[in-house]
Amino acid sequence: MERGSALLHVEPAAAAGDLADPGFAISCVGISKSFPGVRALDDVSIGLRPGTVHALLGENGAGKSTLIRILTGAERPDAGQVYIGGEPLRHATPVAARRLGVRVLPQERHVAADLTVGHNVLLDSLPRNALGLVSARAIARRAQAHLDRLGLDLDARARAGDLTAAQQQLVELARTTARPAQVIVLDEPTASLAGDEVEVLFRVIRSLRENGTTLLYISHHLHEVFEVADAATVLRNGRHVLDVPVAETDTDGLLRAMFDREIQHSRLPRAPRPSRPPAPVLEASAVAVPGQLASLDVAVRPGEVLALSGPAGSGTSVLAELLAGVREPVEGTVELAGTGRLRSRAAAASAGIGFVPADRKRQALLLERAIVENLQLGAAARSRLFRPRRALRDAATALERGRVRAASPGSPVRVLSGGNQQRVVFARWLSAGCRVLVLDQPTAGVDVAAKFDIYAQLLDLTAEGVAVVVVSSDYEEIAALADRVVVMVGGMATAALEGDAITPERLYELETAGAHEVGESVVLDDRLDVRTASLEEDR
Amino acid sequence: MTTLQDPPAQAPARPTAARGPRLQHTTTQALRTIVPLLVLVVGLALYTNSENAAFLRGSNIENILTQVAVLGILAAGQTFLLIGGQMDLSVGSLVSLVGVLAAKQFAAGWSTVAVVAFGLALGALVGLVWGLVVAYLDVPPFILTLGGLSVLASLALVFSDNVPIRVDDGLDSWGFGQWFGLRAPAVMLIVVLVLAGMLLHLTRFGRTTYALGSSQQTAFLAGVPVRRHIVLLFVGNSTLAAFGGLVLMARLAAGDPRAGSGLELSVIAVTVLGGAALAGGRGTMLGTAVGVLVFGTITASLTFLRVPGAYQALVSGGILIIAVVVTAAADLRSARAGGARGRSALRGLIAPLTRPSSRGTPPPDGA
Repeated sequence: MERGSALLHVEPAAAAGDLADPGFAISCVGISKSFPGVRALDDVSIGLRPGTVHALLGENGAGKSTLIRILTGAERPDAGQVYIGGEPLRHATPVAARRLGVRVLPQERHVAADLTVGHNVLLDSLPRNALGLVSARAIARRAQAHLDRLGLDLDARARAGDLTAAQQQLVELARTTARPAQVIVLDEPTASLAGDEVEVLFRVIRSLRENGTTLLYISHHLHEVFEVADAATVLRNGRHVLDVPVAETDTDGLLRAMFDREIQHSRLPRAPRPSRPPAPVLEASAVAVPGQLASLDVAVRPGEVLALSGPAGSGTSVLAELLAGVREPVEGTVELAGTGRLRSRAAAASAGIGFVPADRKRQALLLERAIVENLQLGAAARSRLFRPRRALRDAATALERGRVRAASPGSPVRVLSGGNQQRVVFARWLSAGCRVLVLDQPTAGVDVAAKFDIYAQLLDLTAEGVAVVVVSSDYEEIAALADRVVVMVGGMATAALEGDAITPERLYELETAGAHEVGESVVLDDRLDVRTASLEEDR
Repeated sequence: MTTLQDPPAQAPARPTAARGPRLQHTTTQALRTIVPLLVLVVGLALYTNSENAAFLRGSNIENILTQVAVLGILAAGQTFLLIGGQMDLSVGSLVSLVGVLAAKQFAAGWSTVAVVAFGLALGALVGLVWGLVVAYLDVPPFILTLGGLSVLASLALVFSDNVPIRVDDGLDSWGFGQWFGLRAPAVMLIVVLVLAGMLLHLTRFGRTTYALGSSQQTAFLAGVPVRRHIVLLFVGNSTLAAFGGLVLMARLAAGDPRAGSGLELSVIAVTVLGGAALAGGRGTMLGTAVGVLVFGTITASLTFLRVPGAYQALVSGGILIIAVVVTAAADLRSARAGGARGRSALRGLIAPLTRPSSRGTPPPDGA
């Protein structure tokens, strides 16, 4: 069987044949899924025993989200079959999956801010009276009973929009569990929760398990896995690499499976750095955004790659936006050498700060417009006149320089693969002649080979003296690229690394350790001078 | 590490770059809208001409152009706004207001230069207000200019005491002059459309307008001064509308407080007919010109064919609806058949059907 190879490391009981049997609450066999330019999942088969908590682990981009979307019917696989309670999920839609008892606690919060907590909890099953009318009192009563049962300290009559992010997350948890479910998928449920709330969540998880519900638990935090999960599955680059009972493994075992040793040590070669570092080209001094970023100092020097490492919501993207002049700091200043304070995004761009946003399709490209228009946009549009012939010729040159393959500059940018689209964005900033390039998750949705092309391109830029700032939650990417790293957790810079000290495992440890610290001290105005910290780390 | 070295397959990519300039897909897209409209214009003209041979006479064509001159001038400005993802419903009222004020000023003995300068300045000021509010307060332009429509229309009535103001001698040459052998409004229409077309298609300003309407966020992050551009769009459009108001006043030889009422809807109709999308990012000046032509031809044809006035709006509205529906259907079809996304979705549907056979082709299973 060709599937055999992918299942090499997998526990024999989960062999492909019996995954369809009704002994599994939810299972899938031979799932593959590709997106243009990326193979997101490659022949993945897993099965979850009823009444267990099963952890799904993997780096960002390993395919976890895609697998969840397929298991819950939100996405159709290119190949393979999902079984829920032994029954094949035929017309894969979220509705069909829900009918079979699968519910999801999504990663992003979807709370209707203007409705009450109770209304939000019972949103999909509002109690109605004999006339078919909805009663606010009945909603409040039923929802309050449910909230109390879960042990959540929330008032069903409060307006949902007035709650904190963490409380809203708990409201979602209550909604997900409001009706009995066979399988509940928890997609990074602790991302916006603090210590106490995590305990509440774990209590809810344990009581659900006792009632026979099966839970699929996705998290970045291994200690959580050891606390609540019974079994774990690890994905890497869309492949299923490990299936193991949690009792039979340890942190090291899981880490080894999550990070590919071979790629991990391929720290990319770069031009030798000058022994005496040049003066910073871009400096943020004491910048802070209340609630999102605690006051910190960062400086970027010409010819180096500075990485900002941290999970979503850790403040890395906010910091990148400040550095690129996309938004202004509430406190502190961002200054570009020779230009001074950044006044607006447009001014920053024409002064030579390129920005590559995370949402490529919506924020970096004009998807329906031609490649040439996407290249000669904003600061990259040099001349006031637009001469079509010349523009197309220049675009062709820019594409060649930017290593975009197989495209004529007149075709719409949407037909390109993710990697080539990203190269178009780079080519825009190359022709704008930027001094600093700020990138937010530059290789999200880009396949592995294209990733390394992009890395090489960025390192070429640094050789020309461009300063590169990369926001990433991909530890291998940071290890391959960065000269320096600032690790951020919960809006605070918690650590800094430099040079060869940057390894995926170290980053992972720092981030998880940081999460504990931040969990204990909720103060957001601790100041940390990253420059000094990085020096100490180096000696 | 091997991944670092570019595969040799990269070299053949050059010929594609050397293939040189080709029609942009957006151009072909626009032509798909414009060509059927041109066919419609020609067909309608030929039919009307067969019924009444006066239709295609030079003087009548000139007449049609004169009739749609103000509409076309306003449409040129509105094209910029729609492409930039904005909209201005107040242009009709502005036309009335500028006409009324100009008529009063002529009556009060202002010089022509002063009247024109005042009118254009008033237009620019109105546009500045709309632009600043939209750009800096993020108010939806639809609602804002809907309010503006009422305010300006009412001001026109107030200043004129509700009755048209006669203009005996002022801007006569704009309304009735013969320039280059054509009537002045027709010449102005052509000049405005050509200049607007050049601004839209051959300058950075125009390309930026497309970018703004396609994705404001992308434009902003790429370094486009988005707010300033929005303000400029509104200022330009309102100034052009004020110019249209002066032309209309000249042609009517009166400042009629109701001259422009309802004009904004025709303006948006012809612009959309010409291929501009209300969602922004799409449209061409040629398309708008053809849209204006369609409107003029239909109106004139109906008159020539002695269709009662009550039916005229029905026909022109019907054509707009049909045009929009046909365009949308064509887009949907091309998205399903040709678009990369559509194609992959299709493959996703077909894959489960074809897979068993494709898997069976390699050495028989289990061999």
